[in-house]
Amino acid sequence: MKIKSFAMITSIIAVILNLFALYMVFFYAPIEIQMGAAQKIFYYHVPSAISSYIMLFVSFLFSIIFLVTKNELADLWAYAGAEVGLVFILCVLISGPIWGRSAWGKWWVWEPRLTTFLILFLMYFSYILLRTFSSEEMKSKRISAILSIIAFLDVPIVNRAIALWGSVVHPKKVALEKEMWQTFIVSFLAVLFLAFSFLLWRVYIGIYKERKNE
Amino acid sequence: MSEFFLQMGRDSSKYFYFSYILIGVIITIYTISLIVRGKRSRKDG
Repeated sequence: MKIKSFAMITSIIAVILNLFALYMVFFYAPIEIQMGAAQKIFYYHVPSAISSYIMLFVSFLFSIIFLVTKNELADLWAYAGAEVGLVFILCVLISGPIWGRSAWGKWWVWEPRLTTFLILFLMYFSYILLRTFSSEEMKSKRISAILSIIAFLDVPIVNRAIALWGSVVHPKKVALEKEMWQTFIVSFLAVLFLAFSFLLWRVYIGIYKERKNE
Repeated sequence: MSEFFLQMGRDSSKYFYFSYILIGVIITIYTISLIVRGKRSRKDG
């Protein structure tokens, strides 16, 4: 099966890239003078956020395709995208407050970016709850597709939150040293490949399960 | 002054390690859940 081979290849690349990225984070990237070692949370925090947006876009796109075509495979991709997206949202929501505690002295601040991001988490969490506990399969697929489309509208709001409403804690621009940029790019690719490998395995399991049910 | 920043850097390393450990835990749990689901769907068939 083609998707299994793709999943295998992306998994191997993800493991290699992550080992390399962790080496760079721990031993190559310099320690930022103001925030200290806690600034290194950035190398997995930001890539996790971007990867979650990409996964949620996959869910958004396939939800539209599902609503138009009623194709079961499109629903499977939409479900997988939302699930993997939620995993990376959780990584952001856990690493963010730890970084915040170290940098700002507070675990959580009710400012626009954090609040809109929390709303994003709650919407995709309800998506997964709906898919897990609903008894009417076709109806839940339709409702969750609509939910995924509506929830994705929050992503550009999260992204533009600082420009729109400002922030007391998040900077508008980030200035990084050359070694920091290099580490960021490698860790971004590492997290992205990890997200895609999860997505492909999740779709593969879904297809396998549906074939057995037929 | 530089000693102050060095001290701060040393103190904040616990947040750095704690954060990476938790991210690792989330990724590991999800990987295991995928393996378990994969094995279960194969067994059911």
